[in-house]
Amino acid sequence: MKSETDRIGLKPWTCEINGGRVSLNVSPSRRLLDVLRDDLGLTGTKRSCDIGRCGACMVHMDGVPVNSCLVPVYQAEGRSITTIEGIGRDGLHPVQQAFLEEGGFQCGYCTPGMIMTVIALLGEYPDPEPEQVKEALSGNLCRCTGYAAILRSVRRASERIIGEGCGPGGKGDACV
Amino acid sequence: MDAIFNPVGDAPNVWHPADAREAYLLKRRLGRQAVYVAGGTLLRTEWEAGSRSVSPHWIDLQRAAGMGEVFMQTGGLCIGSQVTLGTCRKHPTLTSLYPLVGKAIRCTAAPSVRNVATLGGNVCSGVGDVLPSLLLYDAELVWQNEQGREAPLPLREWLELRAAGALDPDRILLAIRLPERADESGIRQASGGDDALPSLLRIEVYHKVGRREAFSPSLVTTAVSAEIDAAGCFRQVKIAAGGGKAMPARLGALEAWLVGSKADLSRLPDVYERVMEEYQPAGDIFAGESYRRKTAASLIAADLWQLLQQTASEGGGRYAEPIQQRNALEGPSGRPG
Ligand SMILES: Cc1cc2nc3c(=O)[nH]c(=O)nc-3n(C[C@H](O)[C@H](O)[C@H](O)COP(=O)(O)OP(=O)(O)OC[C@H]3O[C@@H](n4cnc5c(N)ncnc54)[C@H](O)[C@@H]3O)c2cc1C
Ligand code: FES
Ligand code: FES
Repeated sequence: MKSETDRIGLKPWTCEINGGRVSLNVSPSRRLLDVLRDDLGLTGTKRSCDIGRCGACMVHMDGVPVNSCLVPVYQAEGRSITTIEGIGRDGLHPVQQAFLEEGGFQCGYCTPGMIMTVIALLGEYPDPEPEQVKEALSGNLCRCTGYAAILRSVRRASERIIGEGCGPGGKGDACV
Repeated sequence: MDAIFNPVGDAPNVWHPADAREAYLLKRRLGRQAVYVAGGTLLRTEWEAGSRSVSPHWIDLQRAAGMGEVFMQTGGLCIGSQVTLGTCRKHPTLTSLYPLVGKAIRCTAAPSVRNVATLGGNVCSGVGDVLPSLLLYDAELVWQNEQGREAPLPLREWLELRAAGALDPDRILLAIRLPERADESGIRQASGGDDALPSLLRIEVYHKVGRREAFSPSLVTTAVSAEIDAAGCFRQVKIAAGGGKAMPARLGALEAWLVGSKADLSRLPDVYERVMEEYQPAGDIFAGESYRRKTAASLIAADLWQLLQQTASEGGGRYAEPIQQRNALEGPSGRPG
């Protein structure tokens, strides 16, 4: 057995972030959120509640949404992380486009987290039932929009994704 | 074993034992300075709330071998303690054979939290919202101690021993076992003896009542499964309640009173009163004991009322559709929290 703490408390840590391999020396108990924002400058991932309740810090870990404020970095060791910076690098993702068209944001603080959640939802259920949307979004708070515009954005993104063949296994240009 | 370093500054020391035995021995050695960390989601909540101090040594259970699978074995379904709630929620065998476990998980936290949080962590908390559903299916727990794997212990017994403070606090939960149900679809067939009369209708319902519709800590949770046989009597009645900081428990006296009795509406006021007597909630400043007791009593009486309505309107030969999970106490917007 090994302890991960050496004399200065840092250990080598490697994972894949937005498709690139990242190696750092970090304390393994630090939050993934802090490492993304403070060490890697990936400030698109937002901090708000710090306890898993608002969804502002949502990222994908091996393709599923997780609250990066809840994840100690050792849990992300060797895994694949996608942040909002990894989305739509060759032009807006259909979910981002839909949020723009439907006014799915106002101040925009919750938006990166919302986008990450919706991309994961539509990746799994390209044409989700209202109950599935409600369940998927239950961990993302928005203090501005009242949610109606967000729900319209999800619907529009779904239509676009289905249109572009981006369901599971889809190969359309806009697929993530 | 390696030397134990003192944690530097505020950074806890994270250990990755190879298996549960190694983890147990490490915990024994580090004592109260160490904590087992599964998903860490409840621990994080407690640390941030200041209700628990951050331990200087974290013993990571997720990488320890042998606790991460769901599989059928003789006598039932075995769920490794490190399986996430997200995996459980989507597991076809688990959710089809034990539907209330799936429903309870759906009412626990949000999907992104469930992708990290484990079923073992929910059980070990002693107050997790999944517990009433596991109690309903007579779940058993498999623990690791110094000698090795212990014989399965009924969840019901473990909760009582835990409340009495009569357990080794260092034991590791290896797995949760759900006993085999009568057939693949979960529908019990008449098989002679006590089961000679086929069931007419059955209901299986889970409720979580929180202060919001979703993503809210529970005030009350209930799980009910009940059957009415061809003679119009209750049988196979199982009722569990929990929520908040209350120890989830089966309402055994109520179950015994109902089984074999005539299933008619006149019993429902007594059902309500008996829940009020038997259920032991834990109140807080937001919702007192009396409120919680009434809520549990209303939910359970309403579930049985639904079953009786089905009996009256649909007659024999089929099973009641499980009623949708409901979360009450929601404002008019219905917005998930
Ligand atoms: C935003 C948010 C919302 C939540 N909502 C809910 C909710 O609605 N309902 C609910 O029930 N919970 C809720 N929780 C609490 C928590 O997420 C769940 O109870 C979860 O299942 C705990 O699992 P975990 O793996 O994260 O446990 P951890 O936090 O890792 O551990 C919990 C406790 O169990 C011990 N432990 C864990 N695994 C083992 C094991 N195998 N053997 C021995 N001891 C062990 C740990 O030492 C610790 O004391 C919420 C948490 C958050 C952050
Ligand atoms: S900052 Fe992570 S959920 Fe709020
Ligand atoms: S747009 Fe402001 S919080 Fe959602």
